[in-house]
Amino acid sequence: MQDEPAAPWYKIRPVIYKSCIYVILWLAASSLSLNYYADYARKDKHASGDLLAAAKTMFCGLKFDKLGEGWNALWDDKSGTHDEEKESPDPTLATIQKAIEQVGKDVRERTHPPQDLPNSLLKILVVIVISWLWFYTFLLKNELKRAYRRWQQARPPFDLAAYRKQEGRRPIALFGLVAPGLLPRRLWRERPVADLVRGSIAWVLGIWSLLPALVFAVAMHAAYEPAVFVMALAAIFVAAEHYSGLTKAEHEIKASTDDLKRTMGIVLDADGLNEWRTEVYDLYGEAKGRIDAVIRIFDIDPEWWKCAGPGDPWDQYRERCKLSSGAGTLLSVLIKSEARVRFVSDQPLEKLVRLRGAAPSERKEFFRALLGLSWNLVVFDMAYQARVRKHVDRKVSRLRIKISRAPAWMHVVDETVYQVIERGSENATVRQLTHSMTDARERQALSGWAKSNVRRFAQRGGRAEEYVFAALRFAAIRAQSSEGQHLPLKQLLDELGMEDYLKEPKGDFLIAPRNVIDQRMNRSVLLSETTAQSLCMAVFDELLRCRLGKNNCFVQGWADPPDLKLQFLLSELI
Amino acid sequence: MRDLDPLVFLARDFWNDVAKISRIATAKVTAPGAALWDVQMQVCQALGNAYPVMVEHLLAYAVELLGLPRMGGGGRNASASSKQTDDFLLRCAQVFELQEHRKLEERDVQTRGDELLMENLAAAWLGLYFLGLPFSHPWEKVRRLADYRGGFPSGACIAKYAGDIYRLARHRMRERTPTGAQAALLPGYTDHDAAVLVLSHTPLILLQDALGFQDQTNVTPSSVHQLGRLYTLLQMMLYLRCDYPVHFFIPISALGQSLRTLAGIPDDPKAAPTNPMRQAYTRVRDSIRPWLFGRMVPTHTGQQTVSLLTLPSDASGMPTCVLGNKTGIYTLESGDSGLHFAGNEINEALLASYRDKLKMLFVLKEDVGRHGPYQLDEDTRIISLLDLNEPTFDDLFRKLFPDL
Repeated sequence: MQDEPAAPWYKIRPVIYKSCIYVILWLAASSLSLNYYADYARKDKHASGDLLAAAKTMFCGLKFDKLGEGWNALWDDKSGTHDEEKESPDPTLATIQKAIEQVGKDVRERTHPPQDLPNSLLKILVVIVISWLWFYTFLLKNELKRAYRRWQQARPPFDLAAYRKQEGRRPIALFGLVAPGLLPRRLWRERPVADLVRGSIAWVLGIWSLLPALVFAVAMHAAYEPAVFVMALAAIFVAAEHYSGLTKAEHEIKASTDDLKRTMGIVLDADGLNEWRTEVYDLYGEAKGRIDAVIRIFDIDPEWWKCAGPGDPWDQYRERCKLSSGAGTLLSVLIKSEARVRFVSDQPLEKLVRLRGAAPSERKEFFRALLGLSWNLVVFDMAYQARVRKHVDRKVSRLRIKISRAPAWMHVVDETVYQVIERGSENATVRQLTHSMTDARERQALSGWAKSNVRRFAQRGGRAEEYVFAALRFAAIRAQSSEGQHLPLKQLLDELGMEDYLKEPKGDFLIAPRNVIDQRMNRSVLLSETTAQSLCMAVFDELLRCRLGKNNCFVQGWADPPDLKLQFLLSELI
Repeated sequence: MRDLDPLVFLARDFWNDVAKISRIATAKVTAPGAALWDVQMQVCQALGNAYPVMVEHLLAYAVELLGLPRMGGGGRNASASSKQTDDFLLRCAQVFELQEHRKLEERDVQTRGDELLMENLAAAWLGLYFLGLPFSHPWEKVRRLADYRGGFPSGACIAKYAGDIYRLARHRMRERTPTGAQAALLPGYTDHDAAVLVLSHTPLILLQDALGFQDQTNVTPSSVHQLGRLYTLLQMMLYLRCDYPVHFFIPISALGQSLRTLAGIPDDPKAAPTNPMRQAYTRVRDSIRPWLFGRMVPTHTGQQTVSLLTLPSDASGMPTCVLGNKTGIYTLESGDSGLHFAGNEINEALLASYRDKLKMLFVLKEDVGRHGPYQLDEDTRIISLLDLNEPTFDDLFRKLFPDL
């Protein structure tokens, strides 16, 4: 596996994308603010000079003397006398008239001008665009900082061969000191001074983004209490800052996980496993030779649980796999890859035999294991059929699952070897054993050993299809179904723990009154119990259909799909 | 029995069930015109209401067996595990005494513990198989144990492995093309690489009596060994019914020895056979043709051959073996070989070597073809039995194995 991407600072696409949006938003916010300002200036006969004059007056009004006065006023309780003074009677008519004028003036000054709809709409639009602009300001800031950091740290890969060649030409390095010029020189962007540039990105962007808001704020002062408006802007600002902080933290966690993986070859915990699955799927897609693995828990693609629409869920799954074009779904990566796949899984017989009296959690666990196994078997069959259709002219590699006791948890994809160590049900460590191996022979030796280890387990075991069929038949015996009757699939699956699984299917999906399927990645899927049950049954139904459809026994009538009898299960077991 | 461990009752029920399954399944498989694909179904029907109970017994005992450690294994948990293994051995002794009125000797308990466990596990697998529940777990443990000790004990385990080779080959052949069996029937289609090759000294394909053969050296009840051979026979017959390629090679000398053994004639050359032995010998010999043509290979295609090797040297240095495409098994056919195993799996390079050796016999066959297959003269090194007509076959066998 190529651990280092060719040139990380080429990851410039998100920067360009965010910059474009930012520029558009800035232009929109500025033009709208200026529009609003123009209206304000025309209607209220304000001149642009007013702004400067007001600023000047404001600054002139700031005096040090007022500090003391304000301080004293803060502590002197004069509220009572103030009220008394105000309420003191003044009998003269002129005074009354003056007071009425004063009241009129106050009312004029303090009430807002009448609002007309176009004007309000414009204001709403400006506020929306400004909030949006600020959110993007912070996102762009993060993106630029990251891009800058990548650029700062990027170096052409150290060419050991060239270095040795150069070294060979030089006489001897004195006292172990390497002559300057041999090692790559320190670039200016690597010096601390360059960090200042990175720090100033936030300021430049921040001030620049304030401009449209400032123009709008000045025009708004007549329409509303400016301080309240500024408070609202500040709230938006804080929200945007927090949002950017969160996304930044997310990126930092991802970056440090990647960093850890690069240096140690380790991915930790259950979320890490999720991440690892994506990585392994990528490897599957590129695998040319073999994939040998010991699997403890068979994953079911999140895409599968989204196939809850009307019609056959497997058709929907196929469609989804086509749309995702080879990313993220097991079927698409297996079709893309040409590798021979051999999985080994341990499914203890004891769990099945003691299932009847087992705790709901154990029953749930058992059913999930069986479901995952069956789901994988169906996908393997589909992938094989697709491979056959793709390469009609030559032999294609098979995909098999064996049931066998395998103490190790190895995952070998061509020459990459992972070892997965479980700690409890939700915690595991994945280590890429071939991570630091630069010698191709060593890698081959390790992967060869791991492959033969998995093969040994596989050879001892039985076919997974047989296991699933036998488990279904065992459930039928326990449920006292008769051989000749139509296969009561739901009853059999309930016997095998489906009910308990559907009560707590967390991890795959959540049960809700109705189906809510979010198309975005990593969002949980909500399914109604009926849909979830029919999806579970569809897995087994498809497995039965595709196995019996192969007509293993050459006995007419045994593989008649419309009436699937219990005794037909034996055709897989003979 | 009242103060016995409840597991003894379970073990007793288990062995009773295995014996019963063995009896019923043998009758179903060997019956004329048996519907082989339905055998499991027929066994279930024959058992009636006892079927679910039997399934529970077998599975419960299988789970117990799966929980047992290796016999005589030391290590950190030696004391705990030795208690478990002692209990198991004691249980076996008690049950075998009850069932077969046969005492497990102290020496067997001490030295053949692993063998006992493996044969118990094989019995569990075989019993479950004929009940239509072939969970691979017991057999997987047998193979694990075989890895530790270097091979399988004589009897059920080796027979089960041989049956698996036919079964695996049948599955693979079916997978090869979408049309499966039909593709193998195409004219001119011969595929020695995919064919199952068998070199047998006591061939089930010729000798029905070999099915019920009782080996006194076995440590477990004969029902399991018979069930094992029945499994091989069933898988062989299913494979033959699918018209998939298979070639059997049988050295004449070994077949003669097998006839004598099955007739109960002792190995000692000085001891003259008694009259019933002589009659048994003739009966076994004369039953070969109806068994071969009537039951084993009713329709003959060029892809399936059964050949006698006239010269022992052609198969020299080769033990009895069943060779599939991916794996094979050999057996030394002798419990007194001094080894603690009687056979083992054959994989990779060894398999290729064994297959090459047997493939060389095809060349002999072509030579004989030019001279005509029915002439038994000094040059004849191989006789293709399926090409013989009825009188020639009988004539040949009377000539090769004259009445005693």
